[in-house]
Amino acid sequence: MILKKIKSSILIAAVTTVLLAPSATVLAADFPNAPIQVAVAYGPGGATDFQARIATMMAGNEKYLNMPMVIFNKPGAGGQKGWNWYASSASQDGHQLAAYNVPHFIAQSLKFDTSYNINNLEPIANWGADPAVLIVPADSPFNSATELVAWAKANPGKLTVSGAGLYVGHHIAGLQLDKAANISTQYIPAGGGVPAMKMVLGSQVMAGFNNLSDAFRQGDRIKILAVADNQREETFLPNVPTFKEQGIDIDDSSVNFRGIMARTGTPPEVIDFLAERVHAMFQDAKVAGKMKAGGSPMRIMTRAQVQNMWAERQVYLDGLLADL
Amino acid sequence: MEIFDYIGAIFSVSNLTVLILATAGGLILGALPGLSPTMAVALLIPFTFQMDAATGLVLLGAVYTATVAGGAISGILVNIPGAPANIATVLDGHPMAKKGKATQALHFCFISSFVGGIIGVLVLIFFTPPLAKLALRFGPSEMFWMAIVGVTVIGTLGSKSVVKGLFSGVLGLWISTIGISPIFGESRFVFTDHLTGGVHIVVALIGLFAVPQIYQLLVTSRQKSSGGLFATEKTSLLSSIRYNLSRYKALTIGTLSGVIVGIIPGAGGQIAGLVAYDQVRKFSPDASKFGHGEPDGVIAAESANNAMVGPSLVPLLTLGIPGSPTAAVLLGGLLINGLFPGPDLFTVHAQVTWTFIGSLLVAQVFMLIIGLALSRSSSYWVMRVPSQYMAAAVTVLAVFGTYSIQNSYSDVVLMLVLGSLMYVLNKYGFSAAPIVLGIILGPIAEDNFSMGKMIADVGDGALPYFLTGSVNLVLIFACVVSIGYSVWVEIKQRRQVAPGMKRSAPGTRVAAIGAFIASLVVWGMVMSADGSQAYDFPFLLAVLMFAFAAILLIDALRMWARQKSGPGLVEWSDLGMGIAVIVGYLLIMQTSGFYLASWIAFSAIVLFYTTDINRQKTTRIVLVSLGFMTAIYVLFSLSLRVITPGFF
Repeated sequence: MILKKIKSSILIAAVTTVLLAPSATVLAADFPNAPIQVAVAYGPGGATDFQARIATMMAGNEKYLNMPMVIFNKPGAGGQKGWNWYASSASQDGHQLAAYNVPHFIAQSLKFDTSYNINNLEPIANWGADPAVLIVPADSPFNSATELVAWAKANPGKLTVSGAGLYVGHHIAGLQLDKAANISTQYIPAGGGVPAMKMVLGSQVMAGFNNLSDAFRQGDRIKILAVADNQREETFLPNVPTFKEQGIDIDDSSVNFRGIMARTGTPPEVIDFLAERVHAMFQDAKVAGKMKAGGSPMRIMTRAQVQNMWAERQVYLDGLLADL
Repeated sequence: MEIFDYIGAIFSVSNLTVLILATAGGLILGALPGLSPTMAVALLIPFTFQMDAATGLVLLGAVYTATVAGGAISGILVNIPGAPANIATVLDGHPMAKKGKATQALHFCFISSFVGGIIGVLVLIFFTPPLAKLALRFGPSEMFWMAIVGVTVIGTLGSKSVVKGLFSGVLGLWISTIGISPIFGESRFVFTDHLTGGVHIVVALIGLFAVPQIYQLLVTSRQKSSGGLFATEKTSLLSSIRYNLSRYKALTIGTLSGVIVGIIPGAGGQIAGLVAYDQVRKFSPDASKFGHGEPDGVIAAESANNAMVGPSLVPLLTLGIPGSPTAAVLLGGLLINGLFPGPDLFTVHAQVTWTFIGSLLVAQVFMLIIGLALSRSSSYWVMRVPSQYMAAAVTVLAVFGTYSIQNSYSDVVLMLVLGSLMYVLNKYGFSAAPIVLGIILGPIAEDNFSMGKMIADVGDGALPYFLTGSVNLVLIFACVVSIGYSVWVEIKQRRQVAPGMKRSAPGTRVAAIGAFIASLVVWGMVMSADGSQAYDFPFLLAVLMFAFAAILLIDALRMWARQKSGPGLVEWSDLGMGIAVIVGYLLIMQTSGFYLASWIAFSAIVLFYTTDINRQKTTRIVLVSLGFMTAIYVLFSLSLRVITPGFF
């Protein structure tokens, strides 16, 4: 009885193996030959996730990749979980890409024992730049970054500031504020941009750093005191001054750059192909329209530009974080 | 009422078509393990790009509503909740099915979902502004107490003994700390690479509920000569409706709990059903009926998890702060269409917004009709599937469902390991529901405690921060009442049993010793870590685990002499067989991909457990397995675009 069953199972297994084995050895003649997966290191519904879904929506068009890009989420630990997986386990044939967030992944690679750093990842193209902004509840006594800094000076260590997590752009902006204004604030790492925003809306913290796009959408429920960038954001927040305008020397190092990257080891011709097509895809009018409607500032950059930006950030963050 | 100016737009041909298809599809997706409402909505967002804003949102809203209800179908029929929101439904829903009342349980499920769902959406329509203010009052301290209220429920969920329930709950809380701590950035308890990402809640859900069920089905199919799990009684829909509505107390408690939990941002509808279930049992004159097929349990849980849907959109639509994980994904759907949460939504975009909200009401009606129509046939057919086929199908579905959550092979391994352990734990009186609840509540409790402490440290200090404020006090009061009630019930029950009559349940010794060893292992891991503040919470858990294990051990020692050594509880041969199949499955999967491995696993399971095999039966097995794999391929690869490694 049992023997008969084993026999027939073996037979089934053998037949299938013979039938199906050849299909595994078909080599990738031209790229891409299957839908391309894009790993997002943050949860569904977050700013990175929803922008990635818009930025990749035209991939199936024959002008671009002729294959759809499929987003999948690997959230956890401020992005570490997803990027750790990506840099260690993803395929290196270009069919598995990931979305990056700078300065997050660079800062984390400097502070924590991660499997990723700028040397084992290859930028493809950048689609957006979301500066961090300093926000306070609508009924807060602070009306400018200067007033907030003055209070923090008078009450050392008492100012609570929320942000999306450890060593993400918001945290970097907070560290820069402490350094530039010579104050000490209490940074509260919430488990994401949305909970960090909620703590400001509910006055559970006195201030917060958050994404410009998310802060803009809150309208008059919060006050936006300053933009952590080199220039004002002209499309969405033309009236909010930068920190520099208010005499606090904070540059664009905390700006959240978002784009697509591949693993080192991906064939150079595949990377070149992706760098060209993905860059063109980000410029599609439909992508721009949806991004604008969603209140997401775009900044499209080529692979070469992103390589420079990564290298600059690495040097700067190394210095900033070394003091901690 | 403003909504009436716009409600006409829902009844356009395209919107109605989308509503019907989305509701039917959502019910089916919800019933599959792994495809939680959050996943389903996230997967559908790209499809809405091609639609106009209103139709796209109608689609997402209808799928949200229907998947929450659909998760109860597999829960009731196969004992596997489709999503965390349906755990409470299973506690009495599956026992009802075992008693032959599967159709009735499904009727109650859809009627209660309908009642809860409609009231939830009405709350959304009429009370949005005041509720949004309430939602904002939940800061770290309030969220911490909210989680603790949840923890006090744990001990009484589905376990035979309160202490075992509490031990399981703390075990779940500890499992939630595995991986990188979000607040401290430190890696904790990662002793294998598979654990670096921690244990995803849906992975745990599938593992802890589905895998033990697979083993159980295999045991059943070996013991019975032919298939057929349980008989199903015929019930008329009318009598179900009449009975369901007569249980207005359970309906009210369920709906109220769902509404309240729904508006609290981040608490997650995942616990709405459990809170409602616990309340209804506490208010019931005979709590002992629960867990054995008490319809009130199903009614409360299902009215709660659908009542949660509308209110979870309150903070989302007004403040952009989602009330549940699924609402978070819906936010993306709104933004992509240029709809920013806030007052504009109800003025500038009133047409789209009211069409969306109105469609949620209409979706409830379709969900009721389609759900009720499916009830009899699905319970009739599912209950007649021979158990070896059911075991094979659940195995393959569990693997695909788990993989598709975050395209992770590690998750598949974790799911199978956790599940195999759970099969053994089940036999010794520990149950899955408190463990899963612990995994859900762990991060809410720990993260909010840590953040609250950081805020309090530079303010007035931790004690005034956590112990003052009206919401805090209300929640603390709820904790005290909940604990007090449980203690009172436990004492009452112990008094009813005469002292000499006490007999120890089989396996008490093994359970106590096992729990004790487990607590020592956890304690050892905590102590051998570097002792940074990232280990404060795990240390507290280790102490609690040790305490509960000690109580179990003392109880077991007192009964030592009275316990007769009986036959072993675990069918080790079936467990061994199951593990062999799973290990083989994983090995083939690694080398030749998901589809081939799944097909071989499916055929092998059915083949080994079919009695009197002959040529005709073999042919049928091959055909059924091919058909099943084709369905899986169409669903996961073609429709949901889940890309599996290996072949195809």
